[in-house]
Amino acid sequence: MSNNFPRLVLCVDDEKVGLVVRRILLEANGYRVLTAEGGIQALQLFDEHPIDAVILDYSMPGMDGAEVAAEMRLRRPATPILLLSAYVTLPDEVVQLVDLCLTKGDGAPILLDTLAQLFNDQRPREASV
Amino acid sequence: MNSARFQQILRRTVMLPVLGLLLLSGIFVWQIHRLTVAMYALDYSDQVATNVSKLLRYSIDEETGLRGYQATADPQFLQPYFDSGSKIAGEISTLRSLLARNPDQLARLQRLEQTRQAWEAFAQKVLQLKHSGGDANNLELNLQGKAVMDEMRERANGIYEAEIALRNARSSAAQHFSNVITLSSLIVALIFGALLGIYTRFQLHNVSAAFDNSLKQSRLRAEELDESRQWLQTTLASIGDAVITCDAEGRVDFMNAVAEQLCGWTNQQARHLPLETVFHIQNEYTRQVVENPVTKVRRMKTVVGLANHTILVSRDGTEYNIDDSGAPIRAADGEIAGIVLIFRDITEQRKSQEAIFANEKLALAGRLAASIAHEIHNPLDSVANLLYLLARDPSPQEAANYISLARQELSRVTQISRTMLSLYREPRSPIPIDMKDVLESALLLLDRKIKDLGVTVVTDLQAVLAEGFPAELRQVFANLIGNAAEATGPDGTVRITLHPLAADENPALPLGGSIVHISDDGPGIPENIRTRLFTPFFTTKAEQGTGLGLWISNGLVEKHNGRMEFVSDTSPENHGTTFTVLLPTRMVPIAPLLSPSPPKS
Repeated sequence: MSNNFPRLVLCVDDEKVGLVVRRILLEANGYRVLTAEGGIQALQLFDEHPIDAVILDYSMPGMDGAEVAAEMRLRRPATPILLLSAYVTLPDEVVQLVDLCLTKGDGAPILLDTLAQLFNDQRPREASV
Repeated sequence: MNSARFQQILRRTVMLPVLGLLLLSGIFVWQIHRLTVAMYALDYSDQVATNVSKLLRYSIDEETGLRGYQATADPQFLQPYFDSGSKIAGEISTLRSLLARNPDQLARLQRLEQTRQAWEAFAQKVLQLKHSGGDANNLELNLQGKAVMDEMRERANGIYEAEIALRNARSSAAQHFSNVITLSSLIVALIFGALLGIYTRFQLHNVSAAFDNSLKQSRLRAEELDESRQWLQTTLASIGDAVITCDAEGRVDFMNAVAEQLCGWTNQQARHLPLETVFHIQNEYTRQVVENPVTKVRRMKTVVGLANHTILVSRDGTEYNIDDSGAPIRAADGEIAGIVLIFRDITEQRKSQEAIFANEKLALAGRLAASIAHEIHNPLDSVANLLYLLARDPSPQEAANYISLARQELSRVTQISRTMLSLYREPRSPIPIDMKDVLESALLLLDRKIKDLGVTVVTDLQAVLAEGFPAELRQVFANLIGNAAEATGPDGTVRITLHPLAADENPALPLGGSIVHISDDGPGIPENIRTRLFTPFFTTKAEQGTGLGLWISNGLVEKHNGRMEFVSDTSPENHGTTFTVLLPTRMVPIAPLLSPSPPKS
């Protein structure tokens, strides 16, 4: 289903190298990717494009992942958000804001599986809203 | 009784008898004068009496001569008559001059002269009659002559007796006067002597009472002195700190029990030995002999503290960390009379302080662990993704790009782990350190925190050498920069500068070194907590902090013989805080060499 109509994923991270590598990885797996290095830029892209999912870094200067996620939920609550963090533990209220959480460094297969899972879960979530 | 009063009493006691004696001798001189005058008067009366006697004898001779011539008509008999006549005239003239001041006697003398002239007239008449052959033996004429002669003798006797009576009166008056004077002098002398005795006794009694009193007081003072000496000895002996007192030449005078124990010398053994023999101190790290505090006190003439990190080496080789101070004992004239040295065994205190420091170092590592894990996970994530991409047969060009990116990320991991590890690795003795490296590695440790807080860091760092323990200094600056970043908050700026400091540029660091400023534009430190900033367990971060950071940082800077200061401003227009760390080029200053010759005084 996604091959004919590639999903548009927004990646947000202040780590430039990580962001570049993630883009290459996702594009190689058939996604269209938009990247933002900070919260403000991410929200702008979120407003301008029909984003299908967001891969969000937690620790960022200025606006952290939790703030960005809360803002996105206000604007389009249905868009799934995957919080990708270098921290092993995150506060509960942050975890509850997003659809799924992942720790950085777990490896590409887990990231890709999780992302796929996010889209599979999307339907019942949409229905429930 | 004071000294002046005592002198006065002494003077009076000596002067009064002397004055009395002078008065008495004056009286005696006066009396002698009076007696001499009386004696002259008696002599005078005697002379008058003698003259009158001679006059009477000469009259007898004259009359006898006349009678002889009358009977024999021999002119030989007339010779005594003529001789006596002129002698009598001489005596009368002598008497006249003698009696000139006594009108009564002079009147008698005139009457005597008249009778004498009458008798001479009679004698001339007899001689004329005899010569002319007349009746010289006329009875009537001769009876008349005899009567004149009798009267003359009577008058002469009258003068004589009056003079003798006068003499007797003078003599008895002189005698009486002498008696009165002698008696009154005796009485006066007795009364004066008695009064003098009473007065002297009274005064001596006073003096003796005062002497007794001062003797009692000085005994009391001696007792008090002894008592206060005992007090001081007991205080010094029972005090918890070690006390050594030295004389002005720096020789040991007294050691209390704690000092005896720490130095390994007894008070008896150490007495009069130079202090450096007994009190042997070294620098903890370099083992260099440290300048003796007594020498320092004598040089600076003020209270001095020991340099940090001093070790006392006991006589038996045991080592103690000590903390001490020396103070001059000044005599009344302000000259140094001795030196008192007080020190304390802080070995245990140092151990527990070091334990807290080590603990805090671990706690710091713990607090940094999350952010370090974060720093490691980020590059690890990229590397994992790149490996996945490499496994999917990329083009050679893509593969080269992936490998280059993976290497770049791996080197980040290595750098972070090294910085982290160097928190634990520490050389045993101070080593030369580039302060720029220290600050940069502290910034690397805090990189994530700074980014999360959204703080901008502006640096101006020059390469400057210091000496010490790099991880400890990194800990200090990580603490200060972290505090600054937290204080300034999002969108704030932390400025870090590092510059060399020339000698004498700052009084806290006379030999120069390096100066680091860490400034934030945060709200500033409220005035009421500024003084507590460097005390342990004081924190404004509630659960987030242990309250040990600044205390330990300050301790570490002091350990490096540096200094930490801060200025803070809470005013709305100019708020912010600047911490300044001064570090010397050499952690341990070279101790001045002790002169081997005894100090000259």
